[in-house]
This record gives sequence, C-alpha cells and structure tokens, in this order.
Amino acid sequence: MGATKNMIRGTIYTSVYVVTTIILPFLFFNWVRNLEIPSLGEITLTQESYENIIFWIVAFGLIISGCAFFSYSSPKQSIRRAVFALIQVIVNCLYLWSYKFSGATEILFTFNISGYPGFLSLNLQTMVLVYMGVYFLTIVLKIYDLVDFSINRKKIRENRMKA
Amino acid sequence: MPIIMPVGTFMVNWITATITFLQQNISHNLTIFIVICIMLVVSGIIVNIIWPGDRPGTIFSKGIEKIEELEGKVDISEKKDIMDEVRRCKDCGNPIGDAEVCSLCGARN
Repeated sequence: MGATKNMIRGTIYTSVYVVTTIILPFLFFNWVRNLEIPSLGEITLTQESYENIIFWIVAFGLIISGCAFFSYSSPKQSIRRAVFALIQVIVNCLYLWSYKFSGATEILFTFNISGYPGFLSLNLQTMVLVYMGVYFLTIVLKIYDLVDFSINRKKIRENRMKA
Repeated sequence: MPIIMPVGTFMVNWITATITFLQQNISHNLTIFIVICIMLVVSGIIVNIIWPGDRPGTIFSKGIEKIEELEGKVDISEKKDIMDEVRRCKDCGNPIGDAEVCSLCGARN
C-alpha cells in the first residue's frame, strides 16, 4: 500500500512539474515571439535565440520532472528524498537561468505605437543576483536536511515503522 | 544586500560555467535528457517497490528473516551447554561420565 501511495504522490507532483516547467513556458515563449496588440501596435520581445532558450527549458524541465518523481515518491525524511531534492534544486537553478534570464541580464523591448517607434530596456542584474543568493540558501537548507536525515536515520526509520 | 549579492555572483558564475559546458557538449539533442528522465522515473518505481518506507523491503526482507532465523538457531544451540549433559558425581559434582565410581571422591554413583 505504501509503495502505491508513494507512486501516486510522485505522479501528481511530476505532472505539476511537467506543466509548470515545460508546457506553460514552452507555450508562453511561442506566444510571446510575435506579440501584437492592435491598440498599441506591434510589440516584439527581442532575445538572441528563442530556439536555444526553449531547448534548455525542455531539457532541464525533463530532468526536474524526473527528479521530482523520485523525490516525491520517496518516503518522508528519507535520505534518497533529500538527495534528489538537492539535485532538483541545483537543476532548478540551471533551469531558471536558462529561461528567465537566458544568460543575459538585459531584456530589450521594442515597440511601435501609432508610428512612433521606441524601446524599453530592463536591467535584471541585481534582481538575478539576489534571486540566486536566495537559491544558494535553499541549497544549504537541502544539504542540512540530508545531513540531518543521515545522522538520525535509525530514529526516523523507527518512527516511520511505528506509524 | 551585502551577503546575498556575493553569493549570487558565485551562483551565477558556476551556473554560467555549467550551462556553457552543456551547450558546448550536449546541444540540440533532447534524447539524452529524455533518457535521463525515463531512467529516473523507472528507478523511482523500482526503488519504491523494494523499499516503500513504511515496512521492510519486500525482496530483501525475506533474506533478513532467514538470517535472523539462522542466528536464532545458533543462539539456541549455543545456550545448550554440552557439560550439562555429562553425568556428574552426586557427592562432589565432579564429571564422571559413564564411570560407576567418582575418581575424585571415590563415591559410588
């Protein structure tokens, strides 16, 4: 019964990760490639290579989803759960970097409103650094979990068997 | 943000290095990522069947039970002291075996 329950939980979380890390970003990037708002004119999001970004979104999304299955289908407070949660966070860093920021810290919007062309530049350098710093703390937390579960392995297992 | 920013710089550095490495070696071929994903899911299923977490694993528990059973047998046989089975003299307790007379005290048994 435990194994079936674990796998159902893993499948649910994997589905959530597939939708949020692969399907939705893929659709969004395809849609935003050539965004046209009739009242404002044509707005184009300029990035170096969309194909490259989409490729890495799907690639890292697949690994994240696989890790999510392994992690969430594992028993709570187990060492294997902690290991795969840590791997998932690390891959998530790569994933975020590849799709949110795509290796560049500047995003350029060009627009043309009623014959008046212009551009808008967003500098995301500080935001990226803060965001990545927060992610570093998440990695530290996951490492702490792993050490904690390894040290208290016997106690955790006894409690789990009792429940 | 005096602490977070340098840490963020460190993170950005290693992520950039990793992505550059991946882009140079595994670019535009999703097969390897699909294979990794399938392997993770399949191994997750197998590991869960063997070690579900709320009870001992199904495959190896039988082996453990057998080992425990054998250990139990060894314990029982160890508890049986061979000296208890040897006949002793009624007077002094000296082991006499099949002999009628105790060699130590000379008592007849």
